[in-house]
Amino acid sequence: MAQIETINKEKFNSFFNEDIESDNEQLERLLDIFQQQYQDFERVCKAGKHEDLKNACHRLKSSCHSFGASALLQEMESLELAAKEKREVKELMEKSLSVYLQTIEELNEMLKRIKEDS
Amino acid sequence: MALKFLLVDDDPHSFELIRFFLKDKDVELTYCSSGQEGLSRLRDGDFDLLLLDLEMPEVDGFSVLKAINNDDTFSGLPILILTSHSDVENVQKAINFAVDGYLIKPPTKQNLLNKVSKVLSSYKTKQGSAENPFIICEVRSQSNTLQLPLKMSGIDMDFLYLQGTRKIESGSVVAGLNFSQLKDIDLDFKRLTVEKSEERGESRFVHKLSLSHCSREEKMKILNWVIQQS
Repeated sequence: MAQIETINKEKFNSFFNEDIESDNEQLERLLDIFQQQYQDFERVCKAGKHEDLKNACHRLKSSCHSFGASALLQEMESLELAAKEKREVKELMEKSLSVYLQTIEELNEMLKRIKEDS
Repeated sequence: MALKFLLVDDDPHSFELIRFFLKDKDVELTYCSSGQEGLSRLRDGDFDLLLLDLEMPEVDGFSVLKAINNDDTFSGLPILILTSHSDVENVQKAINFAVDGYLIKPPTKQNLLNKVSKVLSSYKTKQGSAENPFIICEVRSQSNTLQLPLKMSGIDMDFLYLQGTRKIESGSVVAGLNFSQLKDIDLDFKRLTVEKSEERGESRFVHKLSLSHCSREEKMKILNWVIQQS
């Protein structure tokens, strides 16, 4: 099965150029929120309550769509469903946390490049 | 004077995005991150538009809608749903609360601005400052026949919901119903029976009409039309 890319560049560019009008500062603000949400997500994962996990995954889907974070979006959808159905979530949580960090790293790289180019 | 919008959504990303989209508009945006806080802010302030998420912990969007429907203070408040849910079940459920619009998250700037304009202009219409959105229908009860203005409010697989300004007796027949907006749909509403007429705030009644005689295909046509309009 083909691996899903961490960031879909086309979607990211469309979001950055059209929706937030190539505004670096706005991108940085949204990325800050995305990074803060990682702390919440990590805390919820540690607590392991299905209901909180379901809500946390649902909450993150908007950011994933905006940034074109395809891999994380897929993880959030799988984990949200598993939490909703009260299934075993340990493996999915671990993978989600790892994909989340990878997504943050790539987005920060992209922001850095955007700032250098401007 | 700036328009006052209230956003109730537990996702800070949505708030930041909407704040950005509205930054050049004459809008004062208030943000609440929970349904409970949203209801309390609604009671304190006079808002021109409520932007409401559906999926929130504890008090979710549907609970907020229920509370709004049960409180006359909020009668006439325009409501735009903002949600990641695009399934028909949730759309139908929201429509049945007579919301004014439905937008899938995250919205693009253009989508949001278009939808907000549409909702606000339809609200102005409701207030009588533009063309009348109501259609005159003939309502026949056992005791008399009346000409009443009614408008589309929602639909599900069994019922059509119409909105009006006065109560209609259960068992009344709404006849000659010819929504100009439904011209594209080849349906003849000859006899729709009112099952129930419920008060939803000051001078606002929602009438539940049985669609038992419509085929599934006809119902789906109307449902799709309602979703497109929302």
